[in-house]
Amino acid sequence: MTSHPTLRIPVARLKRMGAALTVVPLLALSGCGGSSLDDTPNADSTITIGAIWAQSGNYTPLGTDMANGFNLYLTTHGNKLGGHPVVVKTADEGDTDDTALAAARKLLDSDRVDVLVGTASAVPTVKIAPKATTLKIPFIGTGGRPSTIKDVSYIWHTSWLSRETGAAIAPYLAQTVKGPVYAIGPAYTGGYDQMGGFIDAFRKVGGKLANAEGDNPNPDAAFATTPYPVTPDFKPYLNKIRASGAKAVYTFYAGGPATKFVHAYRDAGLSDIPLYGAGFLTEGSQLNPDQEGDAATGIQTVLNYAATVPGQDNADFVQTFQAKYPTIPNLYNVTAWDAAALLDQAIAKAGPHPTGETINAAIGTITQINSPRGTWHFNAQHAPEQQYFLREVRKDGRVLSNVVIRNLTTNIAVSAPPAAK
Amino acid sequence: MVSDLVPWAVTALGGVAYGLLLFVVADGLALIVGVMNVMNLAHGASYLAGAYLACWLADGTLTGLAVAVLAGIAAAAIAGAGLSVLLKPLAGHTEQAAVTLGIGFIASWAFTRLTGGNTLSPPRPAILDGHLSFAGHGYPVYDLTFIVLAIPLAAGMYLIVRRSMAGIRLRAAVDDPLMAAAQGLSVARIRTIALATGTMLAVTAGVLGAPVIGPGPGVDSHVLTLSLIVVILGGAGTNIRALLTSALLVGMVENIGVATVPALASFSLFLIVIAVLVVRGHRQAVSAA
Amino acid sequence: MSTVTAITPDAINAARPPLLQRASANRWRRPRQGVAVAAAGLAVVLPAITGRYVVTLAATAIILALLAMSTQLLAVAALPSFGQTAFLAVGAYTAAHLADAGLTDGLLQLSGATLAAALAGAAVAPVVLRTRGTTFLMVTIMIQGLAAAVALHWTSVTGGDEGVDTPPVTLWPGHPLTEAAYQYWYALAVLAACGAGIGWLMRSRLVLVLRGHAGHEPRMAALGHHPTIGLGLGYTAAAAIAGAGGALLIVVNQHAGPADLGFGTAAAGFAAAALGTCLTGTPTMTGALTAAIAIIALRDATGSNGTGPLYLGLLCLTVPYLRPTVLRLHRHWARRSEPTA
Repeated sequence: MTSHPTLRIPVARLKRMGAALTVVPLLALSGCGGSSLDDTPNADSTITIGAIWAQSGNYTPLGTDMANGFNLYLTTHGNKLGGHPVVVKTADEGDTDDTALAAARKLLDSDRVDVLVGTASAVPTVKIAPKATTLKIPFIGTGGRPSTIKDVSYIWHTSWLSRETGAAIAPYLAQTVKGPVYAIGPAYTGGYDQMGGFIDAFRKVGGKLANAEGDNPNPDAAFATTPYPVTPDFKPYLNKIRASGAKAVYTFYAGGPATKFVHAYRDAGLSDIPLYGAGFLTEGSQLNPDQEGDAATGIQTVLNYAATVPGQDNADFVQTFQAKYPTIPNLYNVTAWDAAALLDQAIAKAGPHPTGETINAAIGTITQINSPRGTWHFNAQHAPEQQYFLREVRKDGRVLSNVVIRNLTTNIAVSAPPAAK
Repeated sequence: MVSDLVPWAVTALGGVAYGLLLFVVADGLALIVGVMNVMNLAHGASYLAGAYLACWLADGTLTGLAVAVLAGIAAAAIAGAGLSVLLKPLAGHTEQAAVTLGIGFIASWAFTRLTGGNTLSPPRPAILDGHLSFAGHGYPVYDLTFIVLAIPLAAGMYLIVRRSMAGIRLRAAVDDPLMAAAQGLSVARIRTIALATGTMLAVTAGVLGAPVIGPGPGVDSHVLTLSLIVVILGGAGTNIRALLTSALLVGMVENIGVATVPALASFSLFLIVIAVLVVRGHRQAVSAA
Repeated sequence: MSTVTAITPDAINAARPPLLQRASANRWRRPRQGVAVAAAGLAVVLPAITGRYVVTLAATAIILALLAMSTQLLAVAALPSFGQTAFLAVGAYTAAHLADAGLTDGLLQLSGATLAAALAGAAVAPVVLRTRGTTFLMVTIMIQGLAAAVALHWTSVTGGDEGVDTPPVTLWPGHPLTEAAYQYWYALAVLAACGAGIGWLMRSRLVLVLRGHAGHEPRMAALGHHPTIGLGLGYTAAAAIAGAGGALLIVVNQHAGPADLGFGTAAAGFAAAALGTCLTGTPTMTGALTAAIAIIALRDATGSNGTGPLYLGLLCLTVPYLRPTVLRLHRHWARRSEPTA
């Protein structure tokens, strides 16, 4: 092809086009924001909120639920928080901490938001937290928080601490299950936190695990681990449960793996061994007929919310929610709703021209949030001090839902994470 | 003693079902790579499309499943032919791989938009729902049926490729396209047919395999990686026997292997591929392409 | 950025007979040089005219560009690689461990990362170079998968799925690079240095040998060239370039994790190199650089609301057709103008 003379011109022309392409996007982008060398926070009366909701990848359902909860609060409160008009800029959390960090960068550096809200997955918070803290922008987390975040001065979670959920159900299981419990979960930070929180609390109250030694690649963890992010087939792992003599199984899975796990559990013929889990196993869209459907019936889970939580706040919330959306509200709707409610209070207290710094200070003074899940307040770790519920998947009318069957111990003291992961 | 063996037997059976499913997907990829000499990076998306199709059309009856299979085959034939039109004006393999990568990106975006990013699990036909029990260890009836169906499918494919005129032409186009063209065979047509057939196999595997490997974000790249492993081990082209053996090996490793040595669960397949490459001679590895 | 444009001779020019090369070069030297100088100038003053976001994005583009150039060096030898992220990761984790040990000096981390990645490349080369063409592509997808699995599970070294945080890089003691603009300028300088190195490499005997193997391997073997040694050197050099990108990752993110070498990053790096080739017709470094910038601008800046994969997909679906279309149109025009000429 090199010897053909007519090819000369287009080749060179293409090269020139290539060089031009280099310049065009840079010029196009350079329109936003002033010089990077003088960064001053904006201080006007409109509050810009940056929301990181998952819009692609595995966390999309959670991101959608959170966006719905947050926007519902705004639309029912005249698009104002604390008396200030609000502009919400959103960015996609994506599947990994890389994509979530890119989203946080866009919101913080390009959109110059005053507050950051969001993330479904716990993992990216580790990357976002230091960046928000340096810029003195409060970050209101609506998903899990890993035990590895050190400086929480600008980090607040309206959701849960990853080690808390399992710890809340441990005493109940130790009391009611007559025999050892088999623990199984995914091998990543979220899994180690969730399952570790359960196992530590369970052992503390005298509970006994059914897991055999050597079932786990990580010797520090006592539960059976399955590959993360993808476990191709749960059957080989589940086939070990029968022989372990377990009288119950406790697990933590969320999203796609949860759907697969619940079906595989039924297929493995383990229905006579009760399945308990962290509430994410059956939360939100998981109970749809084309996901877990009837296979989830009878599973008991622990979580800090269910649509059947008693109280006027929840009744009002469920009514407002169902006036707009066709689904039953879930925890992800509530954590985002609470994030908006929290900001509503804090911005009102943050002076006439709220900035990230003053809003953050105001959040620290808030003593109580009236949430659909019941009132809660922040503990020393900037996470809710809250009630946990034991729920069971039952047919509620025509659809499956998580029905509260009892309250679990409040004031869970979450034990410190092990020094080495 | 026997009761100790039951969990292993059930796990091994799981490996067979998994391996056969991979065989169907990977066979399609081997055909495309062998005939076109193009790495189809959208092959995982074809599986995913089939699996989503099963979720939309399956209604818990055998008829629903059959409709989904037929719809999948029809759609795949069109998509495969379309892909061959798209790839035709492109000279280099890099350009062709880039286009298939682009299709994969767009497909995964579209699937997330259409399904809300949920991992779905379609209803199985009522007759095939439920599980058989072996000493307290369950095994799904559906997976067992899949094994029973896949064995004659594999045998049929073997016979078509080895014995039929179409198979002979196909093998000619894989082994020596120039000579095949010189003999008067239309290599372009064979390529279109190979792309359409390869895509059909992936989509059919998706429709039938949706209850085994359910559709969701990330499943496309996962299935692509698994079928790549099978193709690397079994060789591209039309060697059905080698592909079946390596697909069953991968299925066994993913089931028996991860149960025996959980520590290696995430690595075992990659290590096997590298080990095979080291052991296998240079010439053989090249001729596999 | 476009300093590379200025130094790197395009593969097509190098492969072309001198006479033709001179003819085409003369005709387009001036406009090309003009664009190159303008782009280089723009790249240098970028932090003064845009905000921190664009500057960080540009630094990210530089990292992707190094990954793409690493892929492109192998493409010169007709080896399509999907797995250069593995060496990016080796570089990133090496730099992270150096930083962890208190060695925050940027140049030290850069050389450590480059060296470690080169060693890893040399170790892997004999295995992957048993294959060619499409099989090579498939095997490098395995390398990417294996590297991602190792990063995820070798927790004691890689920090598992959370990865490792690192202190900011310093260029001289006591002055950490925390400002986005300085990080970017440092990355730009590294890119320029790598560009100069690659420019030298592209003129070197090694690249001639790589092209020779791409063109006709048996003939090269008959001439006494050992394919594994020649291609192995190329593979090692490519790994080193990716390793330098890994060191920059630590500078910009102060963090290394499994997402940095995930399927998404690998696909973006592969796409950048492939689209670069599509733009210029042969594997050129300028093309890879251009495509990397276009990918970051489209995927991260424009597509930050979840539409990134769509834009990236559309880019992959259109760019390969640009060149054939332009060529066809040109042939059409040439035929029409023939009678009058």
